Amino acid sequence: MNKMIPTILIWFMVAFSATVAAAKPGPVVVLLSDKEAAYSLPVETFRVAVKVPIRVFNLDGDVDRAAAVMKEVLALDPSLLFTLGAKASYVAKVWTRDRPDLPVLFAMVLNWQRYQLTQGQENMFGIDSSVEPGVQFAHMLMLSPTIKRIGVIYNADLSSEMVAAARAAAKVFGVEIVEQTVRRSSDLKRAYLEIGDRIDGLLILADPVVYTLENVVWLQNRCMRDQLICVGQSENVAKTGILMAIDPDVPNLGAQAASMVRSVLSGRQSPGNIGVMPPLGTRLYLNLRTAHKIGLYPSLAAINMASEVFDDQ
Amino acid sequence: MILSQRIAKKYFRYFIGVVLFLGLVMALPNESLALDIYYFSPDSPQRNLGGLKRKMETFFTQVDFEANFQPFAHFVDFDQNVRKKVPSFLYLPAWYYSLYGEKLGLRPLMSPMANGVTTYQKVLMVRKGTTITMANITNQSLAMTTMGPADESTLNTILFKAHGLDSKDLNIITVPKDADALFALALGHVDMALVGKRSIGQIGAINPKIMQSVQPLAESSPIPGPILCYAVDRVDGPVVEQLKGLLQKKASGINVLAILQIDGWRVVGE
Repeated sequence: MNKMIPTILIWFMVAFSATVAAAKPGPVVVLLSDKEAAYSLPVETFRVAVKVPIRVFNLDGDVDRAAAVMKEVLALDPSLLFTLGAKASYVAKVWTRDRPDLPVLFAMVLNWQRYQLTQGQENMFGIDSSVEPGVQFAHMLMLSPTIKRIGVIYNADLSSEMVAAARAAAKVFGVEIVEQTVRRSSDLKRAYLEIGDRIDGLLILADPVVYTLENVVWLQNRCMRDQLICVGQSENVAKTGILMAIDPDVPNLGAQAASMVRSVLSGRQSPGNIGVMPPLGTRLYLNLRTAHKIGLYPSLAAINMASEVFDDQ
Repeated sequence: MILSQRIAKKYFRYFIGVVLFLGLVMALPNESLALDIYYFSPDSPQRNLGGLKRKMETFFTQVDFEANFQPFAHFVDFDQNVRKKVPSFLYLPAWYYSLYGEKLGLRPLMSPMANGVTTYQKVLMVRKGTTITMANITNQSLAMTTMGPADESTLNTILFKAHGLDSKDLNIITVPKDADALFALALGHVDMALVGKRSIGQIGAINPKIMQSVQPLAESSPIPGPILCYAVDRVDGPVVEQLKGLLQKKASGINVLAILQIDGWRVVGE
């Protein structure tokens, strides 16, 4: 009997440690598409805000490394994957096809719909890479509270969801949307001329058909000539002459992601009912030279709300 | 021939010596004598940090005070830079000071005032027509600017504890500025927004339509405002007094209070 005691003890310890290991949730794995400097602040913000252990992996821009990296990732038995960039997000989707229990949160994927990231898998949720039209309206109203009719030119096959969001947001802010669709990039001028005299603002959507360099330059000149409140996307378009642009605040994506991750890991929400959220943190770029050229003199409070102001100083 | 070769060799050695010396001098870290002033104030209505930097550095140039003014938009960026090298002066949130001030060797100097006080209040906003009350906010989402790594306990202290609630039961989403929180609320991306009372007034004044879609639910207790500190090991008493004096008066026709969007200063300990 005495000889059996150590054996029983060992069995007990093995069983106990196995139970503890099984109960302990695995780390949150951050999977990066490549070595982009743009990922570093969102990852650091995420690390601080998520308050659970994280492990970072990188595909280094090479999808051929996916198998090796994902085997290593899955061996950790992660509680959730947070992917940054299109390659990492697509790879995570494919590798979790048979793992509905493993949530995948994606961010920083341009035109995520093109990769069908949420299609057919309930474990996928994300943060959009474009600022919601409603946020653009809110900023337009901040510069010109009397604005009533906002033009939107878009390709119906690519941007109908975005325009539906614009219609809903227009109701919130009491503005009217004047829509015009285009099939090809070259249709833009004609589309603008159709609505130009009926609008006092123009929202340039991140629609791949509309948002070409040639079209943006043409709209920039045309909006100035017609004295329209024009809003685009990216710092560069505001720097070169569009009145304003609103971008997601990239470092803040990490904080937003952390909040979404915490609510999924705590069981308060599921990836399926979160879906794809717009980025809530924004950066406003304001071109004061253009504002003055179109006879707009925003209040100091409005100017101070911009993250970056381009003027003659 | 031999003599000229010797002379040439001697001067060549001098030349090499001078080159090496110059190389060594150039390789030494070229540390500027200017003082660093870091600024991180997530609840300030001033978000144009590029403009703020430009205006503050113009001010310091005009009053002959050599300083690099560096504003930060994000906590992580600010915190990483402070830990890399503690600057001479820091304008930071009170929660950062109470968490790390002692560890970093910081001493408070002055607190900015708005409407005559050094504290401010936040208001918990909801959409008009919502069914959310303080009795049923569990599991709701809340957008707000950062209150630091201990944001949940800070939130409980300033707001939720008084109502018998715990912020751990909410989905808190941090945003860079109050306007983002209000826009997210108005557009239905979050259920609640916690924003500065002052921001509500300012955003309401420039965008009245957004305020028509939201309403207040509760108010926080007064929150200590930002603090201007100095690092004891990095700056001497006379320099501290010099900066204190410069920031308190309207120097060279530049209104530094207006640049920082504050009404005045209260010296700590007075």
